[in-house]
Amino acid sequence: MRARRHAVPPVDIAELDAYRAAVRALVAVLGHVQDGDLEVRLAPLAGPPVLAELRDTVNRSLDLMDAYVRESSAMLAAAAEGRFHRQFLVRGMPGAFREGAERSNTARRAMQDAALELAAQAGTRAQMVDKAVEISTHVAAASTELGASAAALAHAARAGVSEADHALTTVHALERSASEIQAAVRLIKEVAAQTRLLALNATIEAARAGDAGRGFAVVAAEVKSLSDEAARSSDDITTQVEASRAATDAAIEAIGRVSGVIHEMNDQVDGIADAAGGRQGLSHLAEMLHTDIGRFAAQH
Amino acid sequence: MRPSVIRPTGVERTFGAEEIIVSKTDGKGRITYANEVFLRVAGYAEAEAIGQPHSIIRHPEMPRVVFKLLWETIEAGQEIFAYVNNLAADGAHYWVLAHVTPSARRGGAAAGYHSNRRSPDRDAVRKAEALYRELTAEERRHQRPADAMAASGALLDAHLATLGQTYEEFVWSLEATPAGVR
Repeated sequence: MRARRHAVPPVDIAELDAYRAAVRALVAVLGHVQDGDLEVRLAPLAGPPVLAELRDTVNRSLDLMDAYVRESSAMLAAAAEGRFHRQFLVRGMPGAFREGAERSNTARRAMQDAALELAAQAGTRAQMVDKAVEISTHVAAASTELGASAAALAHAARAGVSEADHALTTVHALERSASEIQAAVRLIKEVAAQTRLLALNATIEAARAGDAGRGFAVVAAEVKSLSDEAARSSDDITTQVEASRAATDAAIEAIGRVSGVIHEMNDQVDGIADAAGGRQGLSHLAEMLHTDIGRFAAQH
Repeated sequence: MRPSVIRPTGVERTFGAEEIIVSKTDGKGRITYANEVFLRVAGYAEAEAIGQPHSIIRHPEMPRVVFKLLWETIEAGQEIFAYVNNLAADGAHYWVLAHVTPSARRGGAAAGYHSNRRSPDRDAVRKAEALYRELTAEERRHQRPADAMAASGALLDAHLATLGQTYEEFVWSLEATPAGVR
């Protein structure tokens, strides 16, 4: 009984050969696989059903590895080209294959987000460049206009200064003639005083002559009256000349102030004209900026 | 022996969401490998399938222009995703979302092609089917195959232009439909 229980079952030579053939086939296939060849598959194995199972299991594993390699490389290549809709199809990928596939998809989404963000930034940048081109065009035009206006203004200011100087000369001349008038009036007044004195003497002499001097007395009284009138008139003239001199002084002062203001303005306008025009002037810089921004916009 | 022309029965067959139908072909499109899901769903014994042109599972309702696009893409060394209606040996049909890639080139031409097919979303199938029906109808309006192909190609381009998508984007837009919206 003991001997029979421990007896080795009879060896099925055909089955053993089938297993041997299967092992050899498996070694051959795995030899390809270890060299990175995923094209190879295990051909049908004759023998017990477990060998068919072995074959299916090995081929299924190779199918998975094959699919994983094809999918991951193609998905990455697509993502690199910006075709982010190309996902890693995780269906049918079990265990570590699925985890790897899902991680690849997460990475793809991150790449997509980054690309979208970059595109949005590029869009904003393009808008800013367009805006900068537009503004620089306006600035360049405005600067050129400003330069021209400043030059015209400087010219006008210089003309203003010259006019003011001219007015000052005229007023000075007016002042001089006022002085001359005063001198003339003083002379008239002296002549009138002496005439009055002479008229007085003539009146006295006429009285002394009695009836014979009566007519002369009338003339002397008339002369006195005329000299009084002349004295009064010269007083009036003096008053008016003094008023005129006061007005002239005020005019001189006013014109002097205007002239000073225009001189000062002239300096500032020259400064503006220099800043706006010239080699390093605003309009030149604005044109350079406009050219540079335009070149940048064309390149980006 | 299988009949040389399989008549579609209109019976639809589906396969598991986590299953992948795998096949490999040589450079000329002859099947060199088919996994057990392929054989089960297509209804072929392994010995029947190996060595056959891949077109044995081509469904007569499929527009030829889709296969033209598929071959042009993979012959250019690119991958393609496509919705395909396949014909099983018993006349049943099964829709797949096929991912076809060229296998590493040995020398000049591709060593062969590899196709992984997933079970597609039902809504995606409805949309693909509607488009394909139009394309097939257009192809049948023409006598000469070249005219048929040109006409359905133009129709496909027009349809994609309306959507503002490439075929690849069209396929992915169907795949990307969120589960809750179906």
